[in-house]
Amino acid sequence: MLSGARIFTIAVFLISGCLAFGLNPVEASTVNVGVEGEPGGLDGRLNVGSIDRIPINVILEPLLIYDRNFDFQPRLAEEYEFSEDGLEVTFYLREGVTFHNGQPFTAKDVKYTYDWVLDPDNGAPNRDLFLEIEEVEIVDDYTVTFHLTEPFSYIISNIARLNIYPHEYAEEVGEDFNVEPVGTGPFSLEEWERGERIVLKANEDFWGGAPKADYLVFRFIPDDSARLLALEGGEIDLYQGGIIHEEVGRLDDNPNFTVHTWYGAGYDYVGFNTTNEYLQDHRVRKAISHLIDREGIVEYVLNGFGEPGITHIIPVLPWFNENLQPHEYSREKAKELLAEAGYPDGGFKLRIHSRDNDVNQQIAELLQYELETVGIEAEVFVEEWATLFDRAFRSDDHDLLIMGWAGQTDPDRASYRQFHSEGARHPYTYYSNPRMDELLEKGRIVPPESEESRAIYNEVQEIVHEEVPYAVIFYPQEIGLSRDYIQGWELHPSISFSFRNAHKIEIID
Amino acid sequence: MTKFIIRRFINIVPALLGVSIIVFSAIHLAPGDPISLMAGEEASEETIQLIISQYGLDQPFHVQYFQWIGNALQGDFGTSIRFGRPVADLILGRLPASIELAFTAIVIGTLIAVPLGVLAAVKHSTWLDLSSMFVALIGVSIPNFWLGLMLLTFIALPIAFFPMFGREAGLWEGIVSFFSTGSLEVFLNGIRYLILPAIALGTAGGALVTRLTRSSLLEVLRQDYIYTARAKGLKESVVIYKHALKNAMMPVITVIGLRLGATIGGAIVTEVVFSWPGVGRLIVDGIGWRDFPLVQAGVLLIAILFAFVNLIVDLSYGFLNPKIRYE
Amino acid sequence: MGTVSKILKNRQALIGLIIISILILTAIFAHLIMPHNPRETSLFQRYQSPEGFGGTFFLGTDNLGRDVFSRIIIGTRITLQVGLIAVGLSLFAGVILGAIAGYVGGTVDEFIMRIMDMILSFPSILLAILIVAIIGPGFVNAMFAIAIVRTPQMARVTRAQVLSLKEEDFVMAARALGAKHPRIIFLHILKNAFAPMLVVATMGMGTAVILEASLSFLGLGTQPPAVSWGRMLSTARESIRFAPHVTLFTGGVIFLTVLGFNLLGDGLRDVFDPRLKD
Repeated sequence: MLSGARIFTIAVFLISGCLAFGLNPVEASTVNVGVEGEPGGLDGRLNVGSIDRIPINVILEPLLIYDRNFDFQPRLAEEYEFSEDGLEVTFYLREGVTFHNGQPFTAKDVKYTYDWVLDPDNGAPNRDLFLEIEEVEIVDDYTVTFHLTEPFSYIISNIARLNIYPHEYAEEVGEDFNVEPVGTGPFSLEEWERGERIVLKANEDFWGGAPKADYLVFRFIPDDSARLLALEGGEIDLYQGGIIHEEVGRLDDNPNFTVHTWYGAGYDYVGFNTTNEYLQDHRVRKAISHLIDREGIVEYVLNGFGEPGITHIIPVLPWFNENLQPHEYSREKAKELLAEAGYPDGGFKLRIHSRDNDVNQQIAELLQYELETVGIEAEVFVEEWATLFDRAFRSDDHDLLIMGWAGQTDPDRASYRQFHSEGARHPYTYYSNPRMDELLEKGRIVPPESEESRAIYNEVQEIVHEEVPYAVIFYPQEIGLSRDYIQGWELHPSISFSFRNAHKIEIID
Repeated sequence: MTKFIIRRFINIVPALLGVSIIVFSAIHLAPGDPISLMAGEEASEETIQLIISQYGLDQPFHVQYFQWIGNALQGDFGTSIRFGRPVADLILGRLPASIELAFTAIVIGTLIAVPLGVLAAVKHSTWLDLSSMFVALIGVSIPNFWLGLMLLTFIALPIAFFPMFGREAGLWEGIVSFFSTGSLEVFLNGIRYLILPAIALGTAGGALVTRLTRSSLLEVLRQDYIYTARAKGLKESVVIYKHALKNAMMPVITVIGLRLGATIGGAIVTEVVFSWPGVGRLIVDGIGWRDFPLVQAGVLLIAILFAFVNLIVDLSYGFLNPKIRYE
Repeated sequence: MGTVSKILKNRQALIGLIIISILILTAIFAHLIMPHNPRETSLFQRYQSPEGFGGTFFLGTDNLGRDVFSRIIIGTRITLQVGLIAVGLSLFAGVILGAIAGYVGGTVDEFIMRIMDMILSFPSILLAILIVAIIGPGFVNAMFAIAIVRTPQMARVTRAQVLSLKEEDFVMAARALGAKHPRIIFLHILKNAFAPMLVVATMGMGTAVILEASLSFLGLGTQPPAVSWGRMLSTARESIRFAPHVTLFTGGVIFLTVLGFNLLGDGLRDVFDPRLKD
């Protein structure tokens, strides 16, 4: 048994030891990145969430990527070209690239990757992105041709989302690819400490040049305030997303930190169940849209880090309809519209289901109060994603949904799934409009850069603006924070792409 | 005694079966399914249904359950849907963090709580007693997540020594490193991360122990044999520490033991506040992902630990008081 | 000396009683006390610091510019409701189950107590989370979850009381006089078991309040617009750096509430069980 005196001695010893030990100095060549969560696995063919893809996209690469201005940049393919009829795309691959295990990258790996994802037995969730690909043909070691079943102008945008897997190695390890991934990217997996961190090691043979940092570490810190404190305490060097807006100003004034901002690729919105007794009238939906204080929300909830929402195509894309304005915040206008629809004093009840993030919750509570002022009684339910997902897509048991879309990088992606009556994400608005369907189908065939394409999507946006299946609330800005000694890091509108060029990140003295 | 242990184990089995049925149905009845969550926004309903059937999740509830229980009885607790790894590995990987936190919380709590309780009892009805009891009452009444938040705001934030979140190398690795390299660095760094969450988690239990130590000791001090010992002219300190304390500790040890089981599972909120990578948070995340093999195994493990700790507590009575027989 | 005056003479019980009375009065007269509409949002007045007595926002404002003081006031309603109803339900279920188990004994006892053991083999917060995961988040559901979690303890206490009282003279006497079973249980035994049950129930209120706050903190309890302290804490969490007042005051009130119930519980125990009191 320990005596009291001895316990005391040990305690003093421990405490003084702790104090003497103090904080670790930052290791010169390790870049620590804070991320919101732990990936499910590192096989990106099966793990497609944005949290999963952050480390995956450093380890592996696709044929091409879109950069932060939404322009395509060559990666494992140096060039690509469409055939005249739009039914073939040919990629000319980069030569001399090796995977982390030393095997050379060739056309076989490309074919293997696409065949694997397209094989229904493998259960790849992103298979639907590539259904237009009929066959991947190996022309020679460094040339592949994709044969399409029908012309699809935006297939490149999807191809930019699929990394290339080493065919022999991936076959050999099977399921274990999740924990022993091998790719061509600037960093390779060194260690995965469950629940704590993923450590990546520089790939000195990276075709784009050896990475400047020796290690890239992703630390899992789910809580927003903890992540910020970790940055301030020097435990992490940078992070993107989940920024507490009120704190940004303080950090901006502090020379030890750099605030990075860039436009985002998504928006938050109120989605309407258009089969609801009251919401089937587009005037009621529009009235509710007029109750959203977009400017106030951007100014106060986002602390200015965003733009008031207008339509579902983000303003930086060339297809954005410049003629449209946000629905102004006006209770009078809302009352007028409600009166036109036959509800001058409101007098009905609606439910608001919101995602459980802080911003959506705040909007739900604001909207609830606004609805009260026009006589609509609203009940708010903040639901975790699993429940809300099921509600939105599997049941028709909802009225208003407050959610967000990310990665809306092209107009088809931003419109077809959402508003085509057979789109995969159509069910929860039940919005159906034959003209809309026609436009969206045509949009997939005409060349994206053509005038015709712009005209089509301008009309799509006019319809959305007038009929309001979605009330777009705001376009959030992407914010990243880093210590001043971090250089070479560029924010990408999609967080999972922000570390594609991790080899350029360095620590300077 | 062997008989007693065997019977206790047999008694645990139906409870565990019940627990597994409750958890299995809980996760299945909850809205949402693991596949559509993982499949994300790109997948169509057909693809999702296809993957669901590949995982066998479209089978009737009872079929899935019997399949699961059959495998579990052979030691195979299944593969996590979210992480694609055997759940046993995932949970065992998190277990050290949980045990370390619970254990430290209880040690810190007990080191302070028992002396405080003894003090209160010995100095019965003095201001020392009153203030100890007041401190204990505060400890019992303070919600641990709020205490955690306060510790973060008023201790960790101003004092850089205390990290704000997470966990570095564990204590065990620290001990290993001490014996291999002779350096305490890893161990002390582990302590640095552990201390605030352990205080937040251990306070309520510690306060209970203080109260219990006091009342238990007071009761013992009223017993005849204590009067006898005093009458024999033994020094008061000998009476208290040699005779009374040993007997008074029985209920205290029970409570400490029971707290260990409760603390491991009950640490969920503390783990969330301090981003501590323990089993509790893994289970909560698992519920969020509807990853039932993971949740199932995690909850079962906690229930088993709980039952096991209770058994050890019961057995420890025997060592403290040989008069008790196990029948 | 009557029980009531004994309670009032006990310092702990008295302080506890005062705290709880204030809470109850606050809940009843919330609308008279609140200086602002607790749901009124005002974006440009977010995170106002506490202004003290006489100020517009006595305890400052929260993330949507709502008056923290008014929200704490209205929050007493949910807290007391959840506590009272959850404890009431668990008391009801626990007493019936415990009394049956203790009185009938044998297989019935074994069966009931096995189920209770099963519930007890979960940490309570984990079980509550699982229950809420099935029936969905919300204040009523959280209440049920808490009631279920708390039932075994009530059942155990009742059973223990019933077992020890079963063989006492007055019960034997009642039996000899031909009293029917349920009558024996409920009139005689429970009358005598009332005091310890009251103590357990009072202490249980404190636990229930903490459980509700924890569930709401995790986003699984009370949903807006209903105002719950736990939820206020969870939304205040990200502003803890620049607006710690919301966390400080809201948490402080939860603490005081639990303290009140514990004080009263302690006091009651001392009064009913003087053996522990010197």
